[in-house]
Formats: sequence, structure tokens, C-alpha cells
Amino acid sequence: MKINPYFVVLLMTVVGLVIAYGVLAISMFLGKRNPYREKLNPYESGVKPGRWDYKANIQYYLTALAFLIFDIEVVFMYPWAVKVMDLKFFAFIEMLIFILILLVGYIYIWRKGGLEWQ
Amino acid sequence: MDALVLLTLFVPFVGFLINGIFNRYIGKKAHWIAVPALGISALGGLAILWQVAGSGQVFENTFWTWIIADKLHVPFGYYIDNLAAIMVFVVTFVSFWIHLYSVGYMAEDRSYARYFAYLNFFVFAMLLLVMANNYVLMFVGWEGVGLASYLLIGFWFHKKSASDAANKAFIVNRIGDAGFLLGIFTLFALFGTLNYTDIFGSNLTVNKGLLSLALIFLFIGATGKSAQFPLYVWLPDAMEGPTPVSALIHAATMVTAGVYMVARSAPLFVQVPEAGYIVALTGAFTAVFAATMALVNNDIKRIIAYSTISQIGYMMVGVGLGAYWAGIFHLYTHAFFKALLFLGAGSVMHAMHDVLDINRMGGLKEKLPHTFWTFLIGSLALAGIFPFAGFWSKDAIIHYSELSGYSIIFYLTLTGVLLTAFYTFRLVFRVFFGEPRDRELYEKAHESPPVMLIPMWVLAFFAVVAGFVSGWFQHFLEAQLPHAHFEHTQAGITLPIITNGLALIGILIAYFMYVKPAVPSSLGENPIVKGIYKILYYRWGIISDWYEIVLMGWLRSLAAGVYRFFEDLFIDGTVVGSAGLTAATGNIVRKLQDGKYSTYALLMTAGFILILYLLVL
Amino acid sequence: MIQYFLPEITILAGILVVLILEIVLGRKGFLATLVSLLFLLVAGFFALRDLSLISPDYYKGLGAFINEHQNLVYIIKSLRLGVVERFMDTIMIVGTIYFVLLSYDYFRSRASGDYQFLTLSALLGGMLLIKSNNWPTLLLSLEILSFSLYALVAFRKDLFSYEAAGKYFFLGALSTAFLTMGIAFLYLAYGTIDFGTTFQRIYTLAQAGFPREVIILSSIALAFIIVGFGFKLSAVPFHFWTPDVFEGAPTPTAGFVSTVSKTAAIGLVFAIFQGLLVNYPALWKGLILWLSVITMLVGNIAALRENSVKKLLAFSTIANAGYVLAVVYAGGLEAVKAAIVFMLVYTITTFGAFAVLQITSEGNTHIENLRGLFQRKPDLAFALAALMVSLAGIPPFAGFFAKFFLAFSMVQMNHPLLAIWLFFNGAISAYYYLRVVYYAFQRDDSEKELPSSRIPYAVAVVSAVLVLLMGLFPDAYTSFVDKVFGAFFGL
Repeated sequence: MKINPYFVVLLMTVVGLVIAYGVLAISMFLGKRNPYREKLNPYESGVKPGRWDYKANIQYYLTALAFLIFDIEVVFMYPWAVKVMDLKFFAFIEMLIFILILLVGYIYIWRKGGLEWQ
Repeated sequence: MDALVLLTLFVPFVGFLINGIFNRYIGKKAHWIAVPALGISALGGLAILWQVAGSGQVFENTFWTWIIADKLHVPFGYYIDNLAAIMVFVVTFVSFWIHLYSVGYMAEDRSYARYFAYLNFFVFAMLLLVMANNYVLMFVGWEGVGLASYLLIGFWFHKKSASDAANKAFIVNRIGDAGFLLGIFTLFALFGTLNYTDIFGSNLTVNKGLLSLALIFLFIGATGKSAQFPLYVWLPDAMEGPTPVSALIHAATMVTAGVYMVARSAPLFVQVPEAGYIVALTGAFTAVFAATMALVNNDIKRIIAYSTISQIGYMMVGVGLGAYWAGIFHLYTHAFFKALLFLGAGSVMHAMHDVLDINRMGGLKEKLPHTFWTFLIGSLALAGIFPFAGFWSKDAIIHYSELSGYSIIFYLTLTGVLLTAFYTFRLVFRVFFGEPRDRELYEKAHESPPVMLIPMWVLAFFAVVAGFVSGWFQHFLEAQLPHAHFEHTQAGITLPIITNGLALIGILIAYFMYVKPAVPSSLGENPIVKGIYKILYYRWGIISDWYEIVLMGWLRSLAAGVYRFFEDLFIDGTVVGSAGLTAATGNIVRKLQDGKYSTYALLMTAGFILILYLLVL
Repeated sequence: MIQYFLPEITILAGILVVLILEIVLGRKGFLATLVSLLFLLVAGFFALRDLSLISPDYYKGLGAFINEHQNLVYIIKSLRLGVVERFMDTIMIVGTIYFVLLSYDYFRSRASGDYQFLTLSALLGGMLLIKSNNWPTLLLSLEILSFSLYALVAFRKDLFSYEAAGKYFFLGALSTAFLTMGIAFLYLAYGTIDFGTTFQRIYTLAQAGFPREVIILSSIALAFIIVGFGFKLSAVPFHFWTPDVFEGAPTPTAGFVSTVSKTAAIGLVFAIFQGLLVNYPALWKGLILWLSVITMLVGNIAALRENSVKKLLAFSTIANAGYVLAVVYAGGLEAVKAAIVFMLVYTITTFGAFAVLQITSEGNTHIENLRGLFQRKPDLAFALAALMVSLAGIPPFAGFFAKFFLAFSMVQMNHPLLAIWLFFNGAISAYYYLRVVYYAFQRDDSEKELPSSRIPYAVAVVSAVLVLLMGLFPDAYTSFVDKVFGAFFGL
């Protein structure tokens, strides 16, 4: 059977839409509803969106950014951890360099007062 | 020879460096550097001509290899044969007198040193163009000439018109240059080298189609630099520069470059006579076309400028038909009398406080006797009256166009003779004869200083005698240049009579249009003019009115229409991309640039969708 | 193995050192600039040494190392190394040296450790970008370059600077999103993220004839990817950010964006189209051709009536991107050489021009503001004139040869029409470049004083002299490029 080449694209789009909206629909139909104030917030923590007169502390974003950076770097350690026994000393050095680079950045943020809540 | 070439070439360059770098300290003393530099160079040019003429061989040498890129080897060296030697002589000799004249003309200018620095650079670039032994080096000189002309046309850059004219000249030239470059590329593709000796010495029986393509490209380059149709538009505007610069551009250093380049490529053009025919036809058309525009113009310098375009057209006819010696011979005589005419115009302007409108002049014969007589000699030479220089060279070209069998070219060149004589003498009569039309200016007019008059008289001398060497000239150039073979019928007496008759008719028409109606008392005293006047007055009186009403009215509107159509609409609109369509597109493009990133994101996405559409479908 | 990547390692060490400097000593602009310059010079030395050592089997050792340690060094396998990349590195290092010098004049003490950190990171991002050998590496290095640039554009810390950085960031993010999507489609088509493997698969498919769905998927992928590349190159219609960002960014940063970042993008485009997709010309040839043709024209026409000198240079950078894209289309080894020479000359000329602007046009980039430059600083005016004339491509300046070689390689590959188009555009561009010169030589009667900044002054004059010398002796560098290419490809 010869598949129309566009079919692949179409399939991808459809599957994407079905999964995205399907999950929402399923939870809408199946889920138990128990709305209360905290739960109706778009985010359970953080800034309330849509209120332009609300001033968020800039410090909040800085801390969030710093968190994101160091959080994501940890992801790189997972594949390393899997392979570290095969790669032996070489990988150890590699990771040391990696962490050193991160460390310099971390100290920089610290020194610049990025971690202090003014 | 090495030392001689280097001396001739680099002395002007050294002059340029000195005046350019130390211009603040040199100030009004700049001519003590620039003029002797050109003097040395001119002597060098004379010595080169002497040596070449004496030995009858081609001098060539390479100093060092300048560019090596893959197979492309471009040496820095010279190639001096009879043709180049003649050119070197003309360029340096005429330039020297123009330099000398400038000392008087530019005396009051604030940027005196800068002026002489540019002038020296101009000559240097032209010499580089002429002496180069390969096309790339020639192109460097070619561009150097363009750059120098840009600087000099825009010399009074605080005037907007001057800077516009400089830009126009430069941009139009760039279009021609693009053609020249493509010609060079095509030649390289054909021959694998760009050196004259290698190309001309190689087996020239290459693909005829590609070769003619290369030659057409080269000719496009020549139309730009030599102001041929349709790229002639920059030259009339170039009058915004100081007048000696116009003399330099028109006589020695710039517009002749295209003719020289075609003649230089003679061994190639001989292979494809059809390409030469295109050159000749363009030249013949330009010769008449430019002349028609000179008929109605009232600007003293622009009339001469149009006459240059027209005369270069004649040279193109000569080199295009394969009569290289005739084209170059006309270039050589033209250099003298055209430089002379411009220097004369400069002298008139000097006297009239920079007024250019010939309607405000008149009667200057008395006030400026030296200027008048030299200008008259130049005009007679330009009109091609026997025995002035222009007669010999122009007649040779017309003779060959008759022999070539292309009758259209022959008749165009004959028409050009009539028109040339008419507008030239219209200019002479309007400026020097009749009643002064602007009393105030007339009273203040004064003759120029000797430093300006001496160059004019020297050039006037050459404008008379330069043509007598035509036999030697033909022999000298044809010894080395290839040439088309014409069925040699001896140039009879008929053709000179026809051309001289046509020129005289032109002069007489001008006379009866511009002198007779005014009936100037001063002119009446001249016995010869008085005689002609008396004979013709009663017989031709009615006809001159008729001529004015019917023929001239028609001719004037036609010429004005042609002028306006090409100059304003066609050329300004498309070739010089600063008006009309291009500017409108530019504005649209800039309107899209509204500073909002939502617009940008939208346009980017639109571009993406367009690309997607084009790629997938 | 380590000896092949000495320039990159030097820059990485430099990044750490300047950051540590900032931590330990605080804000020391002069010292940080000096250290940064030192590392750049060392990196430049290593890059040049690398080039002069090259022989046909110079990088063989690298390949052998990778083969021996197949599953060991994924890092190395994600990078590719060749003579073209090294040349581009050298050009980028030259540009960055210019940038550091001008930045010190612009920011003084604020050009301290963190500023140098951003500079060197951007350079490293660019160096890795052109060497990336698989899609994730490409994305990652592209982001290293881009994010450093966003921060550098905003570094003046005023509203204009922020606005420019904001536009750059949002549009950059959009283009990266497109690029990522394109990579996903390409993965769908060939089932690999590795350039080498993709190349192999394309080659085998090309022998057998492409299946239709692969063609369609590749076309879709290409459309997406070209948005990402076009943005970095500022090719039309993805160029809109360029004038706005140039206008708002600090002057040295605008120079950096138009030279170093541009060189990286061109290296990348060469790698992808002349390397990866060279066996598949039907797909991209036409697209690149039209992109280049339109980019040249739009850049030049928009510049004609532009009155802000910075924006004018932005449009000029767009037009120049078009010129280089044209040789990407033409292809061939000569094209690569021509592009290298062109980018080197372009980097020197453009940075020289920005140095003049830094003196004359701070706070007011209107072209009228150049008035009176000749009467106040004649040598600077002549330097500007030389640089502009070189940009317009007029001999005897280097810009002429740069364009000459581009056109020459086009004609050699039988694309004379493209060369005509190039020169036609060159003719248009002469108008606006010379307009700048015209204003610089106009008289001005106001009492304005020019700041006496020694560094940009020296930079401008040195660039102008260099441009002239490189035009008079083009052989000096073209023969080096020829020699290295000859040695590398064993010609």
C-alpha cells in the first residue's frame, strides 16, 4: 500500500491534537469537581497573571532563573551517571570540569548578590 | 625603458601624495609641486614616444606578480607599443597645459592643494590605464580615473548640484564598469589569462560566439567611460566641476579611455567584425544624437560637452570599423582642440563671473581678443574645416565609413558634420559676436592672465598643425596594430569637398540665424564678413526667416523632445536608481520597517509560508 | 587529541578566568579587557598555527582517535573540524578583538569581567556553531551565541538598548522555534540527528532516487530551517530586526552582530548547504538563489534613502549577506575561498566604519551629524572615505578584491548572470556609501566638539590603512588561503 506522503504530517498533527485536547477532555468528563479558591488560581504558586497593577519583586525572577539554570544542568548528570563505569577516569575529569564551570557561575551569582533577598 | 616608464607614471603620483598629505601646509604653493610633476611626466611621455618610434618594437616588462589566485596570475607591468606611446604622449602633454592653466583659473579657490592633488591623481590613473600590460591592471586605472573624476566633478561639494553630478557620473560609470569586468571574466574563461601578450599571441580562433559576448561586454564598459549612448548622461552634468577638470575629462584623461580600450583589444575585434559593427553603429548614432541636443542648449559648457559625446562617437566609428589608426588619430587631434575649447570657455566664464548662459553673453570679441581667436581656431578644428586638425582626422573616419559599405553609418557621419558646424558656430556667434546682451557683465569682463592664455595659444597651435602628420600617423599605428582590410581606393578630392561644404553650410546657417538679425556694427567692419554679408543678405534674407519658422521650430522641438525624453524620463528614471521606481520601492521597504516586533514576526511568518508554499508545491 | 581544539579551549579558559576575575577583584574594566585581549590573541595564534601546520592528513589523528574510542567521546563526535572552519574562526577572533577594543572605549569600567564573559561566550558559541556536527550541538551553540548577544545588546541599560534587546530576543526566539521544528522534520525524514549519517543517507537515497515522502518532509524541514538561518544571516524576509537592533544597540555590539555573528552564520550555511545537502541540490539551490537575489536588492534599495548611518550600515550588512549567499549558491572550492576573503575584508571594513561612528554619532546617528567631520578631524574623514569606498567595492581598496573574487568564483561556476546582478547591486550601493562620504566632507558652522577618543580613532585609521594595503597587495592573504586550501585538499 502506498501511503500519501502528506499522511505522515497529517497523522502527526492529529495525534498531537488528540493527545493535547483528549487529556483535557478526559479529565473534564471523568474528574471529580471540587473547586475552591486556591485551586482556581492559574498557578498554585507565584504571580497572579492578568493583574497589571500587581508588582512582583524582581528578585523573584532572578531566583527563579538561577534555579532553572542549575536545575537543568543536573539533567546532564543522568546520562553521565549511566555511563560513568564504562568511561572510567576520563568521565570523572570531564564531570569535574563541568561542575567547575557551573561552580564559577554559581559563585558569580552569589558574589553579585543574586541570592540575597533585598 | 623601465626607469622611463616608472618616472612618467609615478611622478604625478608622488605629486598627488605630497599635495594630498601636506595640503594644509602647502596651501597656495601646490602648483610648484603639481605642475613640475606633470612637466617631468610629459617629458617622459615624449621620450617614450621617441624611443618607441625610433626602435619600432614593443616594450614589455613585469615588475612583480600582483595577484595569484588559483590560475589567475596578474602581473604589475607595462606594455608599450606604438598605440600606448601615442596615448601616453597625448595624455601627459595636454594634461600639462591644463595644469598650467589651472594655476590661473583656480587661484582664488580655498582648496587649492586638494585640487592639484586630485588632478595629479587623475593623470596617474589614466597613465596606469594606458600603460598596463593586462586587463585587470587596466581596470584598476579605469576605476582610478572614475574615482578621480568623482572627486573632481564634486570638487565644490558644498553645492548640491555638484555632488549630485558627481554621484551620477560615478554610478553611471559603475554600470559600465560592471560590463567591463564581465568582459574581463569572459576573456579569462576563453583564454585562461588576462595579459595582452598572452591573449593576443595565443591562437585566436576560439569560440566566436563567446568572444563576441566578451567584446560586447567590453564595449558596454567603453560606453560608460566614453559617454556613449545610452550611458552618456553623466557627461553633461559633469560640467559642475571646475572648467579645467572638464577639459581634462574631455580631452585627455577620461572619455578617451573607452576608445583606447577598444583599440587595445584590436586583435580581438578583428576576429569578430560584427562586434565592431555594433561599436561603429552605436558611435555613429551617438554622434548625431548628441549633436541634436547641442543644437538647442544655451549653456556654454554643456554645448561643448555634447560635442565631445558626438566626437567620441566618431572615434568609435573609426575603431569599430577596424580603422584603428583613424579613430586614434581623431582622439589625438580632438584632445588638442577640445582642451582648447574648454580652456576658452573657462576663460569666458572667468571674465563673465561664472555665467554660463550664452544668452547673456555676446560681443565679447573685443573684450577678450586672445580668447576669441583661440576659441575660433578650436571651433574651426571641431567643425572640420580644412586645414585645421579636426579636418584630417574626421575626414579619415568618414572616408573609411564610406569604404566599409555600411551606408547608414556613412550618412550618419555626414549628418553629424553639418550639425557640428552649426552648433559650434552658433556658440561662437552667440558668445563673441553681436551686441552684448548683458551690459553690466560686459563692462566688467576682462581678459585672463598670461598663465591661462599661454596654454591656450600652445593648444591652438597644435589645433592647427596636429593634423598634418596624418600620413606618418597611419603608417606608425598600422605597423603594429592589426586592421580591417578595406578595398583601397585613394581618398579623392570629392569627399573633402562634400564635408567642407556641409560644414560651411552649417556655419552659414548659424551665421544667418544669430548674427544677421542682430546686424552688429562691430561685425560689419570686418571686411570679409562684410563681403559675405553683402552678397548673401538680399538673396537669403527671406529664407532665413522661413528656416527659423519651419525648419528650426521643428528641429528645436524635436531636439528638445529627444533631450527631455531620454534625459529625464528614460535615463534618470532607470539607470540612475535614485529616482522614480527605485525610490518608491525603497519607501515601501522602509514602511514595512515600522519598529513593531509583532509586524516583524508576522512578516517573518509570511515569508516562511511563502517559502513553504514554493518548496512543497 | 586536545591539540586540535586549542583555540576553543583557550577561549573557554578565558571565559572562566574573566569570570573569576570579576568574582575576586570586582569591577575592573581595564584589567578585564586586557585579560580578554590576551586570551583572544593566544586563541588567534593557535588558530593561525593550526592553519599553517595543515597538510592533507593533519586531522587524520583526530579521526583515528574517534575511531579508537568509538563509544567514548561523544563530545568530539559532535564537532567537525576542517580548514574552512579554522579560517572562519580566525576571522571571528579578529572581529572580537576589534569589539573588545571598541567596547573598552564605550563602556570603560563597565567593560569588566561579566562583559568580557559575554563577549567570549558569544565568540565560543560562534566557533562551535560552525563546527557542530549534529543538530543538538548546532542548537546549543546557536543559543550560546544568541543569548550572549541579547545580553550584550541590552548592556547599555537604557530604554533604547532594552527595546533593541527585546526585539532581538523575541524575534530570535521565534526563529529558533522554527529551526527546532525544522530539525524535528529532518529527523522524521532521515531518522538521525548526526550530520555524517544524514549525509550518508542522502547519498544513498540520491543514488536510488528519492522517495516522494522524503522529498516532501525535507522540503518542509528546509522551509522551517531557513527561517532560523535567515534570521541569523538577516536574509530577506527575515531581516526586519537588523536595522532596529543596530539603532538601539551600543555601537560596538552592532558591529559585532554584523560581523562575527554574520561570519558564524555564513560558516553554518556553507556547512549545511555545501557540505550536508550538496548531494541534494534540487532541494535548496533555487531557494538560496532567490533568497540571495532578493536580499541584495532589498538591502541596497532600502539603504538608498536611509538617513540614520547605523541603519544604513544595517541595510548594508543585509546586502552583503546576499552577496555571500550568492556564492553559496554558485558552489565550488573557489566560492568558499572567496567567501573567506570577503568576510575577512568585510569584518575589517565594517568595524572600522563603526569605530568612526562611535566617535561621531553617539546619541545621534543621523547622517547630518557627520557634517564637518572633515574640518574637525580630516584624517578621520579620510579614513571613513577609504572604508566607505572599499565597501562600495572600488579599487584599489580591499573591498574591490573581495567582490571581485566573489564574482570570479560565480563566473567560474558558470553563473555570469549572478555576477551581473552582483555588480548591478554594487552600483546601487555606491550611491549610499558615497552619500556618507559626502556628508563627512560638508562644512559645518556649529561649535560642536568631537569627543577625543583615542581607541576608536586608532582603530579607524588602522582599518583604513589595512583596507588600502590589502587592496594594493591582495596577494599577501589570498596566496595564504590558496596555500592552506591546497595543502588541506592535497591539490
